[in-house]
This record gives sequence, C-alpha cells and structure tokens, in this order.
Amino acid sequence: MKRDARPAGQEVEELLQFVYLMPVGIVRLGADGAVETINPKAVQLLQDMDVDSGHADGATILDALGEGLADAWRESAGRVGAVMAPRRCSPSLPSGEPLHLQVKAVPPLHLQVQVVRPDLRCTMISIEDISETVEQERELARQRRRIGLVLEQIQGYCVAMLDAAGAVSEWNPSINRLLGASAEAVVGQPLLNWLARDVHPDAAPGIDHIRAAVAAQGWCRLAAPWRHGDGRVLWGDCVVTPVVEPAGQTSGYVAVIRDITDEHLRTQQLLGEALTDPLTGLHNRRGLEQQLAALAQRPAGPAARMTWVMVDIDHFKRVNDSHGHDGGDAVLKALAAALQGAARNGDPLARLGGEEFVLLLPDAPAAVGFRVAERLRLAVQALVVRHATRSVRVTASFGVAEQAAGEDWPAAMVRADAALYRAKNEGRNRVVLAEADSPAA
Amino acid sequence: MNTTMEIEFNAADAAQRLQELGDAELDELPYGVVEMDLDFVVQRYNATESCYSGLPRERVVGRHFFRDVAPCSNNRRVAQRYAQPALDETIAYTFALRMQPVPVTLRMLKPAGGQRMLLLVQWT
Repeated sequence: MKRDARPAGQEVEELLQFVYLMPVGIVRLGADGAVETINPKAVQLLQDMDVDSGHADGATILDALGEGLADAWRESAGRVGAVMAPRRCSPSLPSGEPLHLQVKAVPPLHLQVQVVRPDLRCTMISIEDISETVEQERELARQRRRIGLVLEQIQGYCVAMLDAAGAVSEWNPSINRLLGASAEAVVGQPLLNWLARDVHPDAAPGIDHIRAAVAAQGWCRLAAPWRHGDGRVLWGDCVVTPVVEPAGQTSGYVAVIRDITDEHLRTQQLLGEALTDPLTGLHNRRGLEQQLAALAQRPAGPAARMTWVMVDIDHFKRVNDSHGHDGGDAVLKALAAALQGAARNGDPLARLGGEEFVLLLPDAPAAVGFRVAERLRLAVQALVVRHATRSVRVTASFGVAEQAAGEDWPAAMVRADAALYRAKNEGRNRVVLAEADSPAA
Repeated sequence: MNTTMEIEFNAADAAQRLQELGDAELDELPYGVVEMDLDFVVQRYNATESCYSGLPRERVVGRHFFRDVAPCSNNRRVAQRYAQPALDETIAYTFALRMQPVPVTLRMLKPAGGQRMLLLVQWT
C-alpha cells in the first residue's frame, strides 16, 4: 500500500469499511470467553442461526456452530494454535419467524468453521458460508451416482473414461462385464491394450488413428476384436468421442463399446455359406473369386506364379443315368473328398458347377501342377463309391495351365479348360498340359 | 430543535415527517436514519448513524446500502422485507458497529406509493 500523508482518521474509516464488507465472519474472544470483537458477517451468520451475538458469549457461539466445539475449545485452554482442524457444520435454521415475503424455501446453511488460539489471551473464530460450494458438491455427487447407476444397469455395453493419452481413468462395472477386467487391471492402462491384435492385426488400430479421426470428424468408430479377461475374443463396435474443456483442448475421451459378437459371427457364417458349395463343402465360384482376390493382395514377386488345374468327371451323365441323381451326388461328394485328400494342403479347391472342379496352386509352376494333377487322377481312378447296394467307379480328365506373367486369371482358366478338352478328346482319364506350358511348345 | 424532538422513534407518521426535515434537523435526532431511494441507493445518512457506524456520510451517500455499506443486513430479516409494496416494522437486531456486537432496534419504513425507504436504528 502506498504510504501517503492521509490523516489517521481516514485510514480508520477505510479499515472499518474493509471489515464491514468482509465476506467471512470473524469473532475474537477475550481470555474470559466474552466476545471482544466481531465483524458484521459473523453477526449476520449467527443471527441466521438465531444466536444473538449481542448477548451470547464464546461458548454459546461455539455450541451453536457445532457439537463438541465448545468442549474442544475449553480443553485447549492454555495451549496456542489451532483448536481443531477446519470443520464443516450445517446448523438447523430457525423456522418460527413468519416471513411476510414470498421467499422461496430458505436454502440450507453450510458453514466452515475454524477456531484458533493465536496466543494465551484470545481466541479467533472464522465462519465461512460455504452453502453454495456444498450444494454444488452434492449436485455433482448426485449426478455421479446417477451415472454410476446407469453404468451398473446397462447390459452389453461398456463405457470407459479415457485420459488424453487413451488410458482408462475411471473404472465402472460395465468394463468388468464386457471385458472381464478388474479396476486394478484397467485404471491407468491404455484401453486399446484390450484389442486382440494377435488374432486380427489389421482390425486393431492404434490411438493415433483414433486421435486423427476424432480431430477430423469429432468422433471415431471402429468394429474391432477385443480380448476378454478369460481369453476369448469378442467383437465390439466402439464409438470414441472427445471430452472438450471450455478452453477448447481435449482432456480425454469417452469410449462406448457395444458387444456385437453374435452379429459378427452370424455375418461371418452367412458370408461363409454364400461362398461354399453346399453339396461338397468346397468353395463355389464366388468362393473361388474371393480366394483369388485374397491371393491378389499378396505382394507380387518373381516367384508369384500360379497354376490352374481344371477337373471334369468322365461320362458323368452315365453315372446319373444308371445310379440316379442320388448316386451322382454321392460320387460328387466322394470325388471332392478324394481331390481334397490328394491336393497340397491349403490350395484352394472349388466346384464350379455340375461335374467340373478347379484346383489352384499358388507359387507353383506348370510342372508341379502336372504332377499334382496326375496324383489327383490316380486318386479318382482308385476311388470306389458305395451307393445303395452297388459300387460306382469313375475317372476324370485334367487340364493344366500356368498363369503367365501379365495374363489375367480368366485367360489362364480358359487355357486350362482347353487343355481339359484335349484330354477328353485324347481318350479321357489323363492329364494334359496347356499348349504354351508344354515343353514341346 | 423543538420540532425535531417531537418525532419519536415510534411515531406513527415518522416516515412522512422525517422526509420533510432538513439535513441539519435530521442530524439532531437521537437515533440513526438511513434514507434510500427505491433502488436502495442511500440519499441521506444522518450524523447519529454516521457516529454509530464510524463511516462518514461521504462514504455512504450514493451507494447501494445493503450491498456496499451494510451487507450484514442484506438478508431475509432486513433487506428482503423492503420487497413488500409497503412496510412499517420494528425488530430487534444486532449490528456489528465498530467491531462490537451491538443490540439495536430497527424500524423499517416504506410508505405505499412513495419514492423513499427509511431505516431507523436505535441503540438499546
């Protein structure tokens, strides 16, 4: 404060006004416990509690401010320092006085009280009206309880609060229910640690991906595999939204995960059915195309050559004619199993329709395809299909073509088909290599 | 002097007569008088009240009484009563004047249809 030559009286006036406007109540008690000094806020707060500070002594005031306060103060006589830690009290307000005004319900009064003996001769009491703070805290607690109740009740959903780095900041029962994770295991850990990366590495994005998506469009959604605490994988549709502070910065995220395992599995099953030949269990034409699309995803290298083997059962019409369609189906099933058994493990085998099959040999030249086809031919020839009381034997013809560099797969398939046609013309039950691939050409 | 002495603290027509007094006569009264407009802005503050509170007139006149001068009575017992269209009530109250709890009698006056409100303060 600037020291100037103001008259002393003026300073006293300023001090008086300063104390009159002080928003905290202050009372000083003398050695005998009588009120020596009191400011207007203290008078007002005590008056609200029906304590007339004009006549009350220190013990009466302390009694009104909280149970046991006066006793603690008496026991502290002869000591210097805080009589007790700051404590809250909520005195009951007098209700007897009739009000002539249409005042809303009188809000409850919450005070924070401190009692200190600065020296052996006096006691200072400060009384602060914290009603608003307490009401805010209570409202906050009420809201948290409501949210907690919601989180306990919802089924099939998990709600996780994340900090800015993506670590879980609060645990709730929904996290345990969906992910099977305890509070100790979750809080402080990145939520994305629960992604089943080992199972589906492509479907498990990192926090950077999420952060970028949230920054770009305000939220992020991902269907991803999650690892349950018991080890199983569940599919979760996860929506991440940011928690934006009034100043504009993102202080964290809310992640809501919905369990879509059932839906996901059902979709996968329908997809599988659509791609499979129901009679033989082999790929159908769509399944073959999907296999080709998956193979096309592989990095192309000098070794990335592929050989096609087309298969057609010889005189299948005769089988149908003499053994009926049931017999035909039995032959198709048995033959599919025989081809599968003789083919290299993992090579895609499809039934294109009727009695026509195709085997794909990725990373194999025509010579390998030829040897495999010969093996298939022998397996078919050795096959004895029991139908009704009779045995059925069949043979098959094979056309082999290696897909040339720069050649698309329908063209390679056509050449393999042409080789198959030659095999039929040359007497059936044989393997023929396509023109371009035969050593003679 | 003779005329002012006739206005007792409890006089039924105090509101009307106090407003008619000159500033000097108001200062002669044995009780404190605070005269406010309908927005609680202090118009007159007599010497007796100034002596009680320790606040000189210049620090008070022109200010919102319950917000800037006497926030300790900005409550349902005093300030809120003035929300009524007309008011003449006397209550026992405690002021912290010069840092001492002082039992006082307050008379709150608000004549119906008037432009002024009065607060009379008597030490008991």
